[in-house]
Amino acid sequence: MQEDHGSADILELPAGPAGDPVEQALDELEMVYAFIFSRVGNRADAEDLTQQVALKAFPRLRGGSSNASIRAYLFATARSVLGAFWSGKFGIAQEELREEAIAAPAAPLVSEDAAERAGRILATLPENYRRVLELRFLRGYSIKEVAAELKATPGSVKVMQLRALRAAAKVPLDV
Amino acid sequence: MFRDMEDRIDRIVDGLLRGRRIRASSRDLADRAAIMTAAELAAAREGYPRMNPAFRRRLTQTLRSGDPHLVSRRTALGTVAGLAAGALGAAAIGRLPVSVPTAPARRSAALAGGVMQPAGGRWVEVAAMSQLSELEPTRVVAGEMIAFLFRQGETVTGVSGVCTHMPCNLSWKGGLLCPCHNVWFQPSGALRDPNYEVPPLPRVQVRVEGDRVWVFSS
Repeated sequence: MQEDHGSADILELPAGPAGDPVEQALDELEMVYAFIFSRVGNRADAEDLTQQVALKAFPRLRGGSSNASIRAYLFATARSVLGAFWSGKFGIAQEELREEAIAAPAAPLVSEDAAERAGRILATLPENYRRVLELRFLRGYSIKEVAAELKATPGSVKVMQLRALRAAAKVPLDV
Repeated sequence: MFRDMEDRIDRIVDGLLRGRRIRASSRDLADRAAIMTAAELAAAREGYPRMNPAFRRRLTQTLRSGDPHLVSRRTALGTVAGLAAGALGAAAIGRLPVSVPTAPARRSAALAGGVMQPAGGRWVEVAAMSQLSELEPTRVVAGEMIAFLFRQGETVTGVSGVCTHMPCNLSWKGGLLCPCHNVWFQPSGALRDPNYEVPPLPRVQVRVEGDRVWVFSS
């Protein structure tokens, strides 16, 4: 068992009242980060986009604002930032993006996690599509491993993966 | 539209599963919905992700300084340091082994028996005993773990400082309060309101050696 003497830091001694506006915003930004990660699927993009949200929103937050109002503003900013991210990727106007892809839950946030959301998507798909996406995304199988599992060729698995993702994209969520 | 679209989509999926940035471009416009869905499914491996502690510290410094120039993650952290994010980060970086269960199962394994058992964990010294008050808990962070430590005499116990429903940081207000749902937890980690269906907070392993206090963390 490895011991570490240097990587911990004490945040508060003792735990004081949460009146620090930066800490207050950061606690809310944790939720924004989780939301953005659930839409972009990787830490690097999620961190950059969360930074953008913080930069855009923080100067406009007023001291004494309630957590609910801060959260609502941060999520509205997150929606805008995510829209710009995807529209930039695909070279289209934000209005053309499907609305549900960048929709954020309303404050106060009560939402399922990404795994539950994925489960809801997969549950609606035909068995062969669901199986491919489960193996690929949830189990981390390579295309070759999926092909071996399903007794198919890698080429056919790639085609099925694309069709499954297209079908999954049509599953209505956030309604 | 493109004859090799299944290959392009698979390259994007493969990158996502390796924890890389999304590589889509305007060429992939026809299948944008499929790509966005692939990103959502890739996110399912982490359940409730939290910010990398180094990223959060950098964000904190920037917000406190009012510096409008946030350095990009890639520049600030470097490729190696930015990826050293503990157990969850490690899962995101590399391709998951075949035997790794899905995200919910990973989380429950980490909380087996109601005690935090982070994969690849180690003992981290977080405080001196003399720094711990018996009147109020002490909030500490070690790696990706945030915990509240409670001292009673020479005994120290700890619970997670993150709500079990959403990744909200708890605060101490005579009890552990989740600001996201207005839910209260007791120092034991149990819910104050038994009617609210939120799992109790997992306990944190704490070790006291003389004046030194350690927690088992990722």
